[in-house]
Amino acid sequence: MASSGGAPGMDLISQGYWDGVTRNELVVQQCDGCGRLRHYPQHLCPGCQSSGCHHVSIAKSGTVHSWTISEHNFDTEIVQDVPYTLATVDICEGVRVLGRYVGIDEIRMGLSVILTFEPNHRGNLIPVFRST
Amino acid sequence: MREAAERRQWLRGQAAVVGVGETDYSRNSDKGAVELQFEASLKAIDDAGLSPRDIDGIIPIGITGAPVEDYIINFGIPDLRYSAVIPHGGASGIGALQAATAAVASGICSNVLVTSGRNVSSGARAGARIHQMPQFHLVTEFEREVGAIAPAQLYAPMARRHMELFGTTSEHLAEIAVSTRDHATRNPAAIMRKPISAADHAASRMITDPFRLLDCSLESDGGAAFVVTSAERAKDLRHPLIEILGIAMGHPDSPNSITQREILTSVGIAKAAQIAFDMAQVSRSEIQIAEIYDCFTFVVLCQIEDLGFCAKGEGGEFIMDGKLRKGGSLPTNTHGGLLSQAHMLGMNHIVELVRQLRGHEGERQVPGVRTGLATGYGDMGDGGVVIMGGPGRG
Repeated sequence: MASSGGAPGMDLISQGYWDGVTRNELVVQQCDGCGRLRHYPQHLCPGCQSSGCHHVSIAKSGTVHSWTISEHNFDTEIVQDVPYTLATVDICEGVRVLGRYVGIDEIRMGLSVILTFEPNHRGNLIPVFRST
Repeated sequence: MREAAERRQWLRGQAAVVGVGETDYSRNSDKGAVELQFEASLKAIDDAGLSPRDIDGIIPIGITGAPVEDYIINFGIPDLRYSAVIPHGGASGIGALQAATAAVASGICSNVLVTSGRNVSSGARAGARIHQMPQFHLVTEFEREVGAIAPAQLYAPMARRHMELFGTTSEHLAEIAVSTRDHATRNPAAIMRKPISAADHAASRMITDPFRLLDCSLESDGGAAFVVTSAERAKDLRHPLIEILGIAMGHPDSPNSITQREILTSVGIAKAAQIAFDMAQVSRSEIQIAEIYDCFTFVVLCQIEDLGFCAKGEGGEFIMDGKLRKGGSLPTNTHGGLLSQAHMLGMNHIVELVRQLRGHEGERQVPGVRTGLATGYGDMGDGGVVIMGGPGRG
């Protein structure tokens, strides 16, 4: 069974995000004080320094901000994926997500994409984008 | 803010780099990181005409360093009065120089040793090292599993965005790789000395688009160090005075995640540049030589813009007239940089600037250098810049 990703020792503040990943949802923090969305998870709101926040599931659509196509084998475990495309995506509601791009359209700035969470070579769920 | 600016004016010219030292650079050293640090440190202290016992401040750079306590016992230091940790990767050398400048100017201590040494080409590669560093924890948690493993993959989207927005091309990046290598051909201490052409750059294998192999710096073994003291004391030492005119550090927004940074095409040095130039009372056109942190070719181009030598987006065209080369108006990375001399975390950039200002670098000496700068770039865009003045400034 696929498991959520995350590094050993990941912080409790990101548990909401990783729980969302297992439901194929993009879950981000929203400040209780001022309503600001933030991602990646962090302890305080950068606007009002409130530590209070709740989690919201936001729409998984966005547009490509930038990308790189990796041809070098940086990790022997990942060799079957090379070459692969890493896309930096502006999610419509205001945060960014780095994911794999596997769409059929040639990647370009502004390309509309949709996010799903899918297992990588180790079975860990990662963000994957396809063009819409 | 104004009070701080006035204090920086006072700090201008208060400190000097009086000694520099480097080990041999290689890709297969049989010496460990600590051994390399000690060797470079002793050379820098000797170059200054000081004794190891004279060192009363130490700032070790990088994550492979000996702790300060080990310096005390090995160098027989009787009374260490100052130490610091500057955790900003390739910007740490400038950050340490900034701390050392303030420490000696204020009288906290007299002689600060800034030192680094690494054995990485024969040890763990950058892709493994960064994930042990706390400032990369977000990358480790959210991006490594996606396949963003090495620094090249984190910085490549910055370069791609710059290309898409401003029309920057791989030919522009090639000019940086080629000009840097050309400088290295005149430096016997450089690891890569075989000349390369733009065609060689274009033919080098793609690592992670848009970075080809020749856009990437080396992984090197070696050590580099320098000694900072007050300008007043420096006048009694053996070398001509090389003074710190301006120095500043700056950090980009979202400094621990490039993905979450609103503007991908600018780095921390953009915030530091004007502060350093104002402190130095030096204009861009007075800079005769630049040693610009070059972990990747694009990072040089980005910093040239962020330093204010040209407008954002114009860096590609700006450098194509050969100004970075020998005889150009802004000879850059005259030692060969991280791309061709060795990856010494930018410590070699500071050492090279001092050597050029002393004026005895033979075939690669830029004639008549009085004023120059060196930069640092760390982790995900921490930046630092120092402007130094040598003997004979008007």
